[in-house]
Amino acid sequence: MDLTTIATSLNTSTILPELIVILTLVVVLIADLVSRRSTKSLTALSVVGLAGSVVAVGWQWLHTSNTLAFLGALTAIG
Amino acid sequence: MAPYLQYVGFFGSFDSDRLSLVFRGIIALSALLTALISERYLLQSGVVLAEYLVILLTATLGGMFLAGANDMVMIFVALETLSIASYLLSGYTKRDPRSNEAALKYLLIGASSSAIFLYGMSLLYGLSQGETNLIKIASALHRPELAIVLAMVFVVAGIAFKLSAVPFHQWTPDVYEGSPTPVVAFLSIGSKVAGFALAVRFFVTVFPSIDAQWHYVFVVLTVLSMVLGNVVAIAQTSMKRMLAYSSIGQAGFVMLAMIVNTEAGYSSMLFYLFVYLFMNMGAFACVILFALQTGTDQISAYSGLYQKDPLLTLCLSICLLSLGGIPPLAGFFGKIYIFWAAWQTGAYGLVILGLVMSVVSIYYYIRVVKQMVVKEPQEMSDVVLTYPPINWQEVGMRPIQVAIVSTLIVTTIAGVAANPLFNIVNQSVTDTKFLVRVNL
Repeated sequence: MDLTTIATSLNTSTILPELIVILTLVVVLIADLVSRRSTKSLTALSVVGLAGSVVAVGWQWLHTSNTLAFLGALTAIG
Repeated sequence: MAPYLQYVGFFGSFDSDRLSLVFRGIIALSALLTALISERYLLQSGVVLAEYLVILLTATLGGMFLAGANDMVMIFVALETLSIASYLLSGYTKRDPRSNEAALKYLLIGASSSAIFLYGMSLLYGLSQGETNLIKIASALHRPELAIVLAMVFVVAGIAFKLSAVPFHQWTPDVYEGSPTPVVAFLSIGSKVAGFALAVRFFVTVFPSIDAQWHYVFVVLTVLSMVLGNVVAIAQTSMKRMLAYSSIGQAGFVMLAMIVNTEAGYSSMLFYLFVYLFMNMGAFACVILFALQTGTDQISAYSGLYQKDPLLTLCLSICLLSLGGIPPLAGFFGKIYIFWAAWQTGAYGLVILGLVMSVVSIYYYIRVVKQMVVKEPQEMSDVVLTYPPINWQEVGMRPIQVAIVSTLIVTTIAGVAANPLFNIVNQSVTDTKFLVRVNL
């Protein structure tokens, strides 16, 4: 199974922003376990992850084709 | 376009259309700003940061999934992910009895509203002969029936709780007052935006057969929220309670855009939610900074702040004036767009009421500004007299500074340079299939 098929079956392109949030969540937990003293990096990690999620939303926006035309009279994708 | 790019995932349960993208972007941005304003506050409160961030990210995840959910099972799971994480966040400062009280109240009222919402969905499941997908339910419910209206009322009760629309708002002031302030900032924006995303998708998709009825119910909620939220805010002495009632009033304005049910209406709703994110988050960031410096959130404590911290006074004033809808700030353009969209459809009474309530809101926002800019030293509050200089080098202070500056910039220029934003929100509405069908 190639990477594209795995990505498709996991719906990665549909939920890419959410996937980034989940990954951030896991990274924050691991970072907290590794070094319990440093809190500064945790906020930075969260902010970077959430910023990545916003960027992913922007990426999806740019790559979403207009599925409707003529004020909805013609639907390109059912 | 990449060949593997999909817009509908999980067998139709999740729709990543452009409307959901805008909502998801706003929710992620609200969580980002909340993370920035949280660190110092939590360190000062003496609680652990890591778990807080994890719960905040979980709530964000629930909100983002809710914005694109197209199936009742997905909706309920996402809603509960958001709700349970919100209850945990409300009670996060567990040494503070007010925080515990807030969490318990939120949990009890939230659980009741979830049960009512679930009952409404179970009725829809039965009426549609066992469908959970919103589009399939809508196809099954093609004739207006009393049972559908009943299901709609239950669903409204569940969603209105999330929007803190009157009369489902009772939890809001107490939870806002008792919860940690960064959590309140997230609840007033992220959670509410997710609620609006759900409301638009659910009502427009599922209830076209009882279009008039659900609009009538929302007209009542809009009027009550605008009037009660703004009038009761006048009497508040705590900044957090005032912002709680103000957020109820603001939800009324956004609902006005929703019930217009035109492309312009939905576009104005998205535009207002976007600018509301920045102006409200900016106000909360300033309130947090003031509380960190003085340990209070009483409005009277802000007396004479201009003498000690002109920058904070300026930032808070701009955010509050924008919330009130004073030109040329972003809030003014947001409100004018909503009122214009409503006027176009002939909702004159609602627009006039909205304008009157905007004036009322300006009164209580300006009252805070006036309090801050008193000139006489004897009029200064005790806490402002002993107000220490802000040490931006302390851990967690820089993120607050970044949050305040960024929200201030957007609040100031988003109205004047609104054209790109208008294009985005208009495009998101015209490119969303279920909204375009409504407007055909």
